[in-house]
Amino acid sequence: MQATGSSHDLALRRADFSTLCEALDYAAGGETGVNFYNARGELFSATTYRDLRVQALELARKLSGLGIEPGGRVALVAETSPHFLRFFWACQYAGLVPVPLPATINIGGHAAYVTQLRQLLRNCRASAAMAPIDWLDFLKEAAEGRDMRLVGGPDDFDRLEPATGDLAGVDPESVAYIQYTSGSTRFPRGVVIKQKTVLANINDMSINGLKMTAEDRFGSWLPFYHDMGLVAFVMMPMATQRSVDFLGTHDFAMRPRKWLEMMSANRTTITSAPPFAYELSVMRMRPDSAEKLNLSALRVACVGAEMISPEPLERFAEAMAPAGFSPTAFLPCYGMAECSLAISFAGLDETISIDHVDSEWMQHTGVARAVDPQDSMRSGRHVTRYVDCGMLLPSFEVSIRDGSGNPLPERHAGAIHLRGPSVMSAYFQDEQTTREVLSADGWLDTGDIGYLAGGRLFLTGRKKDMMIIHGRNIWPQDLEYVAKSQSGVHYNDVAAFSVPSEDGHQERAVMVVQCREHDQGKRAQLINNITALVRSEFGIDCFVELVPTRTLPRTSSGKLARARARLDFIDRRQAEAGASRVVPEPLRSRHAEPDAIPIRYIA
Amino acid sequence: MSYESQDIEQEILSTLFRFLARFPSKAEKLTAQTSLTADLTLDSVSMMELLVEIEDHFDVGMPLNAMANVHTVQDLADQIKSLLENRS
Repeated sequence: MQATGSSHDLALRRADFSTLCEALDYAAGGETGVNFYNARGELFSATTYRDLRVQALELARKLSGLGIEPGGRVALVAETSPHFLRFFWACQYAGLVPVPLPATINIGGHAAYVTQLRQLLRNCRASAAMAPIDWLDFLKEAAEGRDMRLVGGPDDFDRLEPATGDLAGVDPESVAYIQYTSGSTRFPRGVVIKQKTVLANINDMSINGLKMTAEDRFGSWLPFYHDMGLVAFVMMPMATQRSVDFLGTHDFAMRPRKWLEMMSANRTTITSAPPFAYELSVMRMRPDSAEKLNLSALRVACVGAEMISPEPLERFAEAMAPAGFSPTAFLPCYGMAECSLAISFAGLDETISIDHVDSEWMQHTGVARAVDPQDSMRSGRHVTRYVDCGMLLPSFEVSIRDGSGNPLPERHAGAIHLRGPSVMSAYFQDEQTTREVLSADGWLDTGDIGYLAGGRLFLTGRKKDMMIIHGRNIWPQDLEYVAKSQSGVHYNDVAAFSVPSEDGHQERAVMVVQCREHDQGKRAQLINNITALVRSEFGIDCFVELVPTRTLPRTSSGKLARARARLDFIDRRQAEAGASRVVPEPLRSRHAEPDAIPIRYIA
Repeated sequence: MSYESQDIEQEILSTLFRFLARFPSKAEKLTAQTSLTADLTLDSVSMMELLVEIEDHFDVGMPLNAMANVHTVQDLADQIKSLLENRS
C-alpha cells in the first residue's frame, strides 16, 4: 500500500467553494487523499478524494433510504478511522447533519462514557448513530430506549437499501455539522456551523493564516471530535485538495514518536497540537532518535488549546534540531469552535514573540504597560510575559470591551468580542445560552480576556469558569456534580476551579467541598471517592479540600461565587505554606513571573 | 482453573505489581484488589505509560475500549490474560 501523493496537476483552490460537497467534487479531480496509520506506525488505509467521494455518494444513497428529514442529525462516534470520513461526507451529500461524538474512555470509565453518549444523543436529537465495531456496544447501550432509525456499526449501514432519485444535497445556508464544545456531560453545548461559515474560516486560514501552497501536506493525531482535528485536518485538507496523514489519538498518547515518524516519512508541512503534546514527545524520546527523523519540511507546527509557555516548546525545538526542525515553525494561534476554528495566527517564519508587561500595573489598572525585561530585572519590578497570538484573520472584526460593554483602547485588557463570517449560528436548541454569548447584530462574546497591541492579540485570562487540562476543556459544573453524588454532600457544598500547577505551566483542578463529617476515616474516604470518580470520568487528578460549612462564598443572589472561592483557596494554601499573600493576582501561584497564559483552541 | 492458567495469572500479577510500584499509592500494600483509580495516583498520561509497558512486555495490543471495565489490578490482569489467549 502506498500513501496518497503530496502534489498533483489539479490547481490549488483555497476553499473558495459554496458548499463542502462542491469542495469534495473538485478535490476528486486530483490524486491527493487521506491516509491512516496504526499503532505501529504502519499505513493501513490510503484513499484518494476521488475514491472517498465515490464511497460517500454510495453511502449517502443508503442513508437517504432511512427516511430522515433534511437537516436531521446523524451521530458518529469519531474514532480516527476511514469510516468516520466516509460517513461525514456521506451526510453532506445526503443533506444530513453529522455530529461527531467523543471516542475516548478512561480506565474504569464504562458508565461515565455511556452517560456522556446518552446526553449527547438526546441533546442533538439524533435520528441515527454509527460507531466503529470497538465502540458499538457503548453506543447501543447509550441509545437504549431512544427512538432512532438505526444505531449500528459501519456494516449495518452498508447493508441498507439505497434510495432512488436525487440526493438531497446542501446549500451554503445548510448546517455542515454540530460540534460539541466540551467534554461536559451534563451541560453539552452544540455549536451549529453552516456550510458557508466553516468554508469562510478555512478560506481565511489557508490564505492568510497559513499561506498555503500546492506543496503542503497535513499530518495529525488530533481527535476528530475536537474542532482543531475536525476543521483543520478533516475539512481543510479536503477543501484545499491536500493529502493528510492520520495517527490515532490513543496511539499518539501511547507512543508520541509515531507522530514524528509519520511526519518525517511523509515530509509533512503542517501539523498542530497543544503544547503538552510537544512536551510529551520530548519526554518519551529515546536518546539519539532525533537523528533518524527528518522534520525539515515542517513549516507550520501550530500551538494552541491550552496555556502556552515558551519553555516546553524551546525544549522540543532543541531536541528536534538534529531532525532539521526549525523553531520558527512554531505558530501560536487562537481560536474556538464557536468561530468554526481559527481567530488569529502569529506570523509565519517568526520565532515566538513575547510581550513583557508590568505585572502590578496590569493588576491595578488592567493596562498592559510594556516594559524592558532587562531594566525590570535590575529594578526588581515584576514582569508578566504574554505570548503574541498574532494578527486576527482579516474576516474578523474585533472589539475589546470593559465590564459595561464599552470599547477599550489599545493595550487595555477586556472581554474579547468578535464578529465575522466564521462565527456560529447558535448553540443547538439552546436559545438562552446562545443569547448570552451572541448579540442580535452578530457579536460573539468569546469569554476570553485579552488586549490588542499593534493589531496583535494577547490573551491574558478567561471570563468564564472553564478549565483547560491537557488541552481538554473541563467545566467546573461537571466536576462539582461528581462530588454532589456523594452522600452527605449537599447541593451548595462544592466549588470546582483550576489553579496553576506547581511549575506554573499547566492548570490543576481543585475541588473545595463543605463537609459536616468529623470522623477522620470517613473524611479520608470521601476525598478518596471523589478523586477516584474524577479520575475515571475525566482522566485527570483533582485536589480535594474539605472545609467547614458556610466556607464557600456566595453572591447576593445566593449563587456560588466561584472566582472568590478560588482566591480564598489560594489564600488558605499560602497561609498554610507560611507565605504571606503579597499580590492578590488570581493567576499567580508561587511564581513571580508566570509565563503561562490560558489559550483556548480545542473545543 | 488449570495449573498452567494459574501460573500465567500469577506471572501477570507480579509483573503488574512491579510496574505499579513506582506510582504513589494510598493502599498499604499493592494487592490484586487495589483499585487503579482510587488507590493509585494514575492520571491519563501515566496510564498511557503503563499501557505501553504492558504492551511491550506481553506483546499484546491494549485497545482503549478494553479499559472501560477495568477497576482493580485483578481486572487489568484478566484483560491482559484474555488478550494473550485471543492472540494464540
